[in-house]
Amino acid sequence: MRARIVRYAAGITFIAAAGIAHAAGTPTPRRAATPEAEVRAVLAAWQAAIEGKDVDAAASLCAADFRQEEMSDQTGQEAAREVASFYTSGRRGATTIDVSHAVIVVRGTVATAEHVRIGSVRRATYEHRFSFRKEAGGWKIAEIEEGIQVPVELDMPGLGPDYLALADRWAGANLEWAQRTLRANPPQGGDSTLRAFALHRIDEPLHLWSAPQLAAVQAYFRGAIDDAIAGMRAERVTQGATIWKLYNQGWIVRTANHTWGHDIYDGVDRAKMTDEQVDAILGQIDVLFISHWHGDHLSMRVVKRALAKGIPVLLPPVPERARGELAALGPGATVIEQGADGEVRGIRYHAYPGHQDGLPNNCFATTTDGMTILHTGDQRWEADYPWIERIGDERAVDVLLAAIWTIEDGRAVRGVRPRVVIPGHENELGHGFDGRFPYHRDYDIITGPPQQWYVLSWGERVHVDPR
Amino acid sequence: MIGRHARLILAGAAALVFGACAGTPVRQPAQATGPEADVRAAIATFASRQADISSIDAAAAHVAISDTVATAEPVVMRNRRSGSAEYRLTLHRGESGWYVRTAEFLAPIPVELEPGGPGAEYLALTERWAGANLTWIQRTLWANPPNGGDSTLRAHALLALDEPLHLRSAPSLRPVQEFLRANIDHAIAQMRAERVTEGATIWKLYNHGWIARTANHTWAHDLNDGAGRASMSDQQIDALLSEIDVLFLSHWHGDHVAMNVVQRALAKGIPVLLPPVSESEDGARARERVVAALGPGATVIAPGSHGETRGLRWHAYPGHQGDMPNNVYAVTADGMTIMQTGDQADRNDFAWIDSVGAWQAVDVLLPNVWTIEMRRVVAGVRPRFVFPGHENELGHNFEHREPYCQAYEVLDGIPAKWYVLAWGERVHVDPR
Repeated sequence: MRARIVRYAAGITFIAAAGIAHAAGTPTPRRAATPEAEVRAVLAAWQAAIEGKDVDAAASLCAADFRQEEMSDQTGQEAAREVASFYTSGRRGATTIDVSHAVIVVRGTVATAEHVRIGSVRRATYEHRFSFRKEAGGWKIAEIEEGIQVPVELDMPGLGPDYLALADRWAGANLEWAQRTLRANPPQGGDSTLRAFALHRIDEPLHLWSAPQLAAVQAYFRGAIDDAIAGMRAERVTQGATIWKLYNQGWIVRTANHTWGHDIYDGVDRAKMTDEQVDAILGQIDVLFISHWHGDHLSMRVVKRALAKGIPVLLPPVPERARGELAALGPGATVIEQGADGEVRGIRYHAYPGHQDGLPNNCFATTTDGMTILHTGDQRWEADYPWIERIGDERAVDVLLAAIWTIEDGRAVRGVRPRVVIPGHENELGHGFDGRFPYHRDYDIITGPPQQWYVLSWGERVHVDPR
Repeated sequence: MIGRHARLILAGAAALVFGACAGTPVRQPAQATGPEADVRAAIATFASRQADISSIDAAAAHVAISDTVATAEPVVMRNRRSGSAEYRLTLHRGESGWYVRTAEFLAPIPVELEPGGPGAEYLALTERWAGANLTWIQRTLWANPPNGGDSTLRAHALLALDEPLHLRSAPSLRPVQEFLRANIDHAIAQMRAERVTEGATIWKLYNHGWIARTANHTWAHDLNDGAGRASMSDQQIDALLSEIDVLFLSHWHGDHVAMNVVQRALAKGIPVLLPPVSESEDGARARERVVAALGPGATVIAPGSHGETRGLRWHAYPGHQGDMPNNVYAVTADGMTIMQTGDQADRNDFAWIDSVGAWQAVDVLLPNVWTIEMRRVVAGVRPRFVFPGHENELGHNFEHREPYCQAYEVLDGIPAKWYVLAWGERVHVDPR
């Protein structure tokens, strides 16, 4: 294997160094490769190894402390092999690697390669950042980080910027109409049929593969968040609770004397909250609850900013891969074990021991000022139904904030017996087409009384009176 | 019927009639007289009983009366959740007068044209965007057929196809209609040109409609003409029917059994093998009358039976979609066996699915892409090839138009060669 790697790297370096002279037909002394060329050769060798489905070869190009946090809880060779295996397995369809756009910067013994495009059939193409370190044996890949998506319109032959512009224009026209319609027809009041049309309409542009890259989607997203911020700044709650939906399963709850957040997630790629927006939201809350350790629920950017503001952050049980991240957060971030009870800044909580496909997922029931809110994160685990189906016997839940799939078969709602149900996790743009659950699905699962159901778009709010 | 309702006559060409009980507003012309007035009154009665319908507009509907049967088309009904659509109402005159017997869906009203909707200029923009993408998609797919070309580029084109086909307005958009018809024309041209000497060539049409050709036989499964205005023309239907010897139909859902296609097939003398009617099904008696009216050539096939029709040996495995019987046909001809699953979706049926491969060598499995536990189905049937179907059926709403990306998801890693086909595409399969 090692010989093969040397052959890959050396061969490419040799060709790069001597190619022009060879073509000219005149013999020339071999020039030493530049550091940039050496790094590019390693990158090319990794590409060749992945395309040749040679996991060993790809892993041997990686440093002893290699990391790729999106794909592996491990470090070093275990992580390198896991990542290479993933890319060569075809699990997301055939992998395509394009290094032709890569920009390499070398600073002494470290280097980066930006804009390395890695794609697959089922997940579109994303730009990646490779970090390198020079070791005794040559340059090694230290880390691979996934960046933003490349719009398919800019990725596929035959398409191009004019298609992207058209998609942007179409999406923008529809999102503007939808947003206008939703603002004129809020969840509690207005024409419910028009609301349904508008929400259904939103599903369409948000299901474009390129959605996070479209200026129209970004503008719509930030406009919706601004609506929520303005609402939070203006609204005083004297009884009951007002609930704002942010993005994905992110919520803000305000009662008479407390305001807290659940799973505040700042967005995807360029469809992201600004720093000002994140700070404005955090400026409103006393506590931040996080259900589970998935990137669309736990944003390190949001968590760090919350801690910097002195806001307690209640984290879920930590998987092995995230132990380093937890250590870096410092005091203020508290891991809440499953089943725990506690009180933070006047908000009592119980962390029901939920799971998403085996990953610990704290379903926080929070009680204060006479109201109880249950947020279920990404709850999906058959073995948890015995306690889910007893919740309604144990406590009076006013509002259930649940992902669509948690409530679509009715069991959870029957078990919890909330007064109000508000689904979440629609149109999460980091997911592929099939995983961006549409608002259509909410309307499929709404059962009506005895629960009051509301379907909210990003930035919208409802007020729930006390019992 | 008329006396049961309060009428409010407004000035102008249209009248608004309220059902006294439910209050569903019905818009109709005020000047209807005679039998047409009775028919329209029956429409108003029908409206008053539709809890999910917020309004009915029959002002532009043409009423045709023939003895005891009448039709009114188009009647726009606005569903509280899903919006407006055009329907054809068929009414019968019984002892108590006219009543609405069926409401046949014709086409959704684009949300752009809904009251309070974005407006016609948005529809034009949507058509432009959809058209641009469908043009690129079609070009890419034709240049990269299922068993040839760049499979990654094909995949991207199919995934891109999910986007315009998931527009609620899709069936009403000219580019979508043109895309469907162009691809069906493409298939027809290929069928006319292609002679199969061994193995089988399989064309995918619309939804879960397929045509299979072996050396001496050509047959079709669940040939359906489309959804609303995104439908094949009568000429296209006739052209397809001219190519086939037998039409197999799995179950009685409208996206699988198109009566227009069935009647045209029978008129051409093509045997049509119908699914059974379930006793528990709503309208079972009505369906039995429909079957009886079709006459000879249309045969109801009992689940679990087998037979031979025009040289095609077939076995109707006893499948189900919930309570509805769903014949899963395995058809054998010229040494090839093709199995089409209809809308198979019942866990109890794994009792036989798990062992199909043990007693029958299936060359090609055509499953509905959303069938329960695709991997288990493939493991039980053990086909050499799998071509999924039922993607992007435009008569379904957003959530139930299974996208092509779902096909890639569920077929990944199965122990069979698989291809994802768009409308009108074909694959040739060699014999064992």
